Amino acid sequence: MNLHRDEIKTALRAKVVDLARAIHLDASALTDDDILPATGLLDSNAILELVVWFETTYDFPIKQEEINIDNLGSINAMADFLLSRKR
Amino acid sequence: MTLSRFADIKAMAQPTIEPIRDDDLPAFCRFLTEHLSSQRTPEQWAQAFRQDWGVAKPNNGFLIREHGRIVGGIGAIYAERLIRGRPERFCNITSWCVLEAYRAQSMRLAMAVVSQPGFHFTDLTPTEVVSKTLQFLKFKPMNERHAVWPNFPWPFSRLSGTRVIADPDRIEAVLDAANAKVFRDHRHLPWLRHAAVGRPGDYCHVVWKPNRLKGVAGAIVLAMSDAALFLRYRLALGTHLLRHGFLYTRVESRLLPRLPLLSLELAGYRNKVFRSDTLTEADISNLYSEIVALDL
Repeated sequence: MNLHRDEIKTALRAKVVDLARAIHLDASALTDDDILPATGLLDSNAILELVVWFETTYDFPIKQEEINIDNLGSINAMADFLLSRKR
Repeated sequence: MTLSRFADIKAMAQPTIEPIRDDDLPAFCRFLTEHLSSQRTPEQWAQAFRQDWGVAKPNNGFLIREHGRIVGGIGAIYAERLIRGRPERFCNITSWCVLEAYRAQSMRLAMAVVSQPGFHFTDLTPTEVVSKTLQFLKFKPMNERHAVWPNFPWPFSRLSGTRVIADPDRIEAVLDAANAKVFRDHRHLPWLRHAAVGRPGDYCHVVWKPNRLKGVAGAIVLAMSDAALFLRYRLALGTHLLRHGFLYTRVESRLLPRLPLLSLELAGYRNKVFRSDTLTEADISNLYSEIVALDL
C-alpha cells in the first residue's frame, strides 16, 4: 500500500468528524495539531473506536503499550506514527 | 508531543472545566451522591477529599460546569509520601462521573487532572473503561493478582520473641518516625485495622481490613511498611488474625517481593493504574488514596 501523509490525514479527519457527529458534535474546525482527547469532541469510547478503525484500515497491529497520547493524540501524531511503522 | 501541550488547547464553545475548590466541594459531593453512588452521603464523599496528608493540595479535582450546573467531575486526593527517603507527591484520581450528555468532555476532564506538574498519578478503583482511557493518557496497569494463604496457629513465633501489637495506643510507640507518621495519618479512619508485628527495634506496620472470600472470613492487607519484614513475621500475624476469627490473609501480589509458601494466587481482578516517570508499581500504596479514605 502506498501511503501519502495528506491522504492519511484526510481520512483520519473524516473519521473524527463522523465519530463526533455520532454524539451530535461538529468537528469540522478540528486542526491536525489539536489534541483529540482535549477537544471535547470525542468521548473515551469514540477514541478507542478511532484506534481500532485506524489499525484495521491501515492493517497494522498496534501494541497495547503503543496506544497512548504520544502516538495517537492528534491527527498529525497518528499520521507520523503510521508512517514510521510502515517505513 | 507532550502532555504540557494540553494547556494550549483552543477554547471552544463548550462547558467549562474548573478546579474543585473547597467551596465547591459540598455541591460536587451532592452531585456524586446523586449520580455516582447514593450509598454514600455527600458528607462521606467530602471527608474523603478533606484528608490532611502532608501536601498543599491545589484543588479537590476538576469539575465540568454548564450554565452554573455541575455536569461532571473527577475527584482527586493529594498526599505526600516518603519513598526510599525522598518525599514524593501523589494525586489519586477517584469518583470520575460525567452525565451521559457530556461524555465527550470526560477526556478533557482527565487531562486537566493529569496535566498538573509535580505529581505521580494513581487510580486504584478504575472501571474497565476508565482503566483503558487512562492507559491512553500513559497510565500503566499494575499486576492485579492477589496472594492468599491460610492462617494457622504458630506457637513458636512467641517463643522467638515475635509480637503482634494491635492496640492503637501502643502501635505508634514501636514504629520508627516515618512509619509512626503513616499510622497517625490513617488512625482516624474507623474501617481500617492496624497492627505492628515483629520484635523490638524491628517492627512492621500492617494496615488491613476484614474481608470475605466465598463466604469465609479473612483479612485483606492493604499495606505494610516493609514487605520483607511482613513475610518474615507473617506466621505470627496469621496466628493473631486466626485468634480473631480471620481464616486467611490476602495481599496484592505486587506488594510482595515473592509469594510465600502455601499461598495461591487469585487472578481476574481489575487492573489498578498509575502514571509516574520514576516509581514502579511496588511503590504505589493503597494508603493515602480512596482505598482507605472511603470505606470501600
